[in-house]
Amino acid sequence: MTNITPFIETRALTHIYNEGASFEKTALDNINLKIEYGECVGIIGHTGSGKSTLIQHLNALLKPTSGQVLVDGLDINADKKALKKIRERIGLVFQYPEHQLFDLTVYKDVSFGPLNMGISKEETDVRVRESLRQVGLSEEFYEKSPFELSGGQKRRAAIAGVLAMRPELLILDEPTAGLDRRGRDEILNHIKALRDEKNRQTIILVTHSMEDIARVTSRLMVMSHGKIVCDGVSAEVFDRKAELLESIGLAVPQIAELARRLREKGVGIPEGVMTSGPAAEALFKLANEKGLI
Amino acid sequence: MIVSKNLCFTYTKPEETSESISFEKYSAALTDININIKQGEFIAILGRNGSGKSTLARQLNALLTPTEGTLWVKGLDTADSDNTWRVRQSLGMVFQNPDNQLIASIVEDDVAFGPENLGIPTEEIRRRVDDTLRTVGMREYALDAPQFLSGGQKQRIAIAGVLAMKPDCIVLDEPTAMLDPSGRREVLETVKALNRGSGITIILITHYMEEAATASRVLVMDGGKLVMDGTPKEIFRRADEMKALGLDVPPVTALANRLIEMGVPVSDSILTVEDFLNDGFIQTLMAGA
Repeated sequence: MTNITPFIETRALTHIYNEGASFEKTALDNINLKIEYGECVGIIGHTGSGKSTLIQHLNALLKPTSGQVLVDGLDINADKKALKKIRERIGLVFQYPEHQLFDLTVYKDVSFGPLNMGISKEETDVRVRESLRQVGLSEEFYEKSPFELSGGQKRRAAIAGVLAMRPELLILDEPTAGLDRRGRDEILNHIKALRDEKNRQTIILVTHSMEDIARVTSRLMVMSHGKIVCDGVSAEVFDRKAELLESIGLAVPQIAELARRLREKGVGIPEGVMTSGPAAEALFKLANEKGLI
Repeated sequence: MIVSKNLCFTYTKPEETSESISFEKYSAALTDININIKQGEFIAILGRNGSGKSTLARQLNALLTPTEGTLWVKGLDTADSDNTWRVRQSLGMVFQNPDNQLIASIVEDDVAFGPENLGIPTEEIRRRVDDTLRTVGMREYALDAPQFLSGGQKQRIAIAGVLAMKPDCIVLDEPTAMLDPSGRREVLETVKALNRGSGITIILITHYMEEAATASRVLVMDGGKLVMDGTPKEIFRRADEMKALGLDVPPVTALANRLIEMGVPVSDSILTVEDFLNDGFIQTLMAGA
């Protein structure tokens, strides 16, 4: 694999806000990362750790102070004319994307991106239908005003607007923030469904929610003070790097923490248990083996 | 502290759209809300999006007033416009979005704005600003410009601004929705300390069940009605009903409930990791290990 050019790569990426001013702040400090096609990567980090700054570099909304962002081996900031194309390939869903809904109907709102890219009406129609289906909004929503929808529905409509551009990389910044259980479940299930057998959408999921990470991502990057301090398989990071996470103000999912503390007390819960279902199975099995139930 | 009798509310003027009120809220109304909140309580309000939580919060400091029924805050009828300012002085609000709450160009000026408006002497304002910024962990940013802070940091400044007015009660409408775990912890510890130390009544609207688990009382709303009212233990034991309302219980509580269903005799009132580790049956399991 090492010979193949990675899909996304950053080399010594550094970003300094207000450089030279008295309040300059290094938001990204020498970031080197590689993401391959088909990966689903979670990024966590405390407030101000550089997560949002990092993802805004990946589609050239921000330019590096130094270093490079490469997509398929090409520096995305080298050619200004190529930027539009890059932004079509790298779809970024901002925090609270529902604030950006603007058109009269859901259908029109989702059409905006592809039409703006110069896609034909017919092809746009196909894409709008597919992306609304992908986020679970059926035809009855097409002619509704986006402002009639519930919070979770609005957010899904906004995600559909980015999906309709068929980005090769979908970046979601805090997609479940402020949603209730149902809204959160819906969003996460639809994100997971983007990665079915035949279509493995490449995804970066930025979140504060360890439970979201546990449910969706396979790889996890941890950011702190503008650096990537940890990068590995999500379950392993939660099991083995709990102290590191806590030291930088993060927490592992509640069940992963419980499982780790039970292991410390000699209760044999296997590593990688992050949710209540598998934890219940493991504890039931143990209690059974010991003849306690 | 807060009493309501058959409080009903309907949004009646949907044409008067302002940017900060979205359409969905017009369909949410309050129906027959009867609450009695005492000074010093720490209340968590749960409910799905659109269940009426935020509408109720806005009633509490008279941003909205009942269309039927009555709401009293410290004995003052909120519908009487002569009471509005006294109600707002004793009940401070922190909203979801900090960007709509910060007004000054320097952090400490923003925190000082409330007490200045109350006519507090300068030295006392200075002390309050320092204290509250320290309480929310933002002392070192006192001279920074709010626009250069992250969303979470801004929210902590907004909380400091309300704290600086020393209200009897603080209503926080999903104050931690955008904070990281340490930020959430700090904010939660802050409001808990204010509740315990100064006896300030806290009303916390949240989607985080772990936060609700630490409250003294939990109110659950659905479709504009108050549908559950009890201690966290009483509420989270009813996991099936919570699920039907589109709500979670804390992950360890879900685990305990699952184990009970499977016939493993753990306690039915586990709310935290500590509770779980201290459970009698789990202790036996550890001893056997």
